[in-house]
Amino acid sequence: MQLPAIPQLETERLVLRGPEASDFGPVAAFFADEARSWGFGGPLDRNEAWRWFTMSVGHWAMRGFGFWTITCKQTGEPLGITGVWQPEGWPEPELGWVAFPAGEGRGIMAEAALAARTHAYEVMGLPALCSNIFPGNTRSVALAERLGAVFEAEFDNPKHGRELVYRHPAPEAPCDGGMEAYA
Amino acid sequence: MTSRQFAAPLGTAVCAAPGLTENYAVSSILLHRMGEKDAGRPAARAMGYDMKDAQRRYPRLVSKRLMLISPADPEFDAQAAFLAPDSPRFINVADDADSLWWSIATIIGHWHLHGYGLFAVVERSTGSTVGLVGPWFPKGWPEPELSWHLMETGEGKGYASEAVQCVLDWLFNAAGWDTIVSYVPEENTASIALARRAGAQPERLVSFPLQPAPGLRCWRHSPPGRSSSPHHARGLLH
Repeated sequence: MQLPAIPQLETERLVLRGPEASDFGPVAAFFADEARSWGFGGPLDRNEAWRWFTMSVGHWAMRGFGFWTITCKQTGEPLGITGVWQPEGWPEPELGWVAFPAGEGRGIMAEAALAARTHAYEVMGLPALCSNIFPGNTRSVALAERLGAVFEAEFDNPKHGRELVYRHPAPEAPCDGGMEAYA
Repeated sequence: MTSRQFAAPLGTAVCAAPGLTENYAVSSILLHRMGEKDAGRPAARAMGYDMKDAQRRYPRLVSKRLMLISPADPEFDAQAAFLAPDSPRFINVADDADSLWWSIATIIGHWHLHGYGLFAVVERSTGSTVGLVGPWFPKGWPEPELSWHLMETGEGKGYASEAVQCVLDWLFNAAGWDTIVSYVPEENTASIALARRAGAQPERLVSFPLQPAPGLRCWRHSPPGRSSSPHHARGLLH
């Protein structure tokens, strides 16, 4: 199972590209920071973070989709990750996101996640997407709502425990400015 | 592709270590499947960015009864081999489908990041996958480890030994490695016997982050002729 040709997505300010070995540094720093990573299965030490990062590379091979690294179009600096993932046990593909410190604010994560969601709907042809968010992760909830997602249900994730399922607008009913802006 | 079968593309070089591992012709059952698949596969360069090694070719090793292929090889269906409902179970591995999926994805990612990793061990006469054997070097490991995991279908036939020898031949003769260790729990007599048969020498007890079990001893494999083992020198191990 080889890696697929991972499509590169461009937005006004960002380039979303496939993972590269050099992305491990910022991914490990993210997982080491409990305040930042508790809503994403963290904290993880550097060795555990390497397993997660390596799994995320293998995820592209196993599923044909996965996490992009969000980079600044101007500088190439990694700003976070976003993408669609569905490890075994996930009931459906999930749109996920992680902001590195450099990717906070300025609507960067919304811009990146919207590009990933648009790709998932229009190129991958997914009929629906959810984002599963830990209770209390208000920043992630705010981003989900900004993307037009609404709370749907609670869900017991086999890896992470109780999560809140936020349902994204379906492909045929994009939220304000959504699909048109990136079509 | 049906469960636990794999097809080798025509034109892909089968890598066998010179001198030690004979380069056997693939069996008829595999040859038959090879004809069903296009050899080339320049396929996926369509749009945009390719991860640098997306189209990388990984080695395949062949021994008398086995073929070793990377799970990251485009022609290997890891889902069917390891994760299908009727896939054989791994021996001494918890029966947990979710964890196994993460492990297989991590093993494939390891190949992409390191360029080497655990090979899927395929029984040539049937096309069934019977285990995973190969070098494994996650972050936190003191050094690369030659690791082996057998599935129920591979038990009791000497397959682990044959695959380990095949990988050692490749590492030392084709890939240019000088040494590799195996970390074996002190109570795992079967693996200790295998390590001894492969000519490995016991060293210290070790402990390191994320180690798979407590009480591990380091067993060191060395290229033939460079082992300090008196047994090896007298040719008592083979």
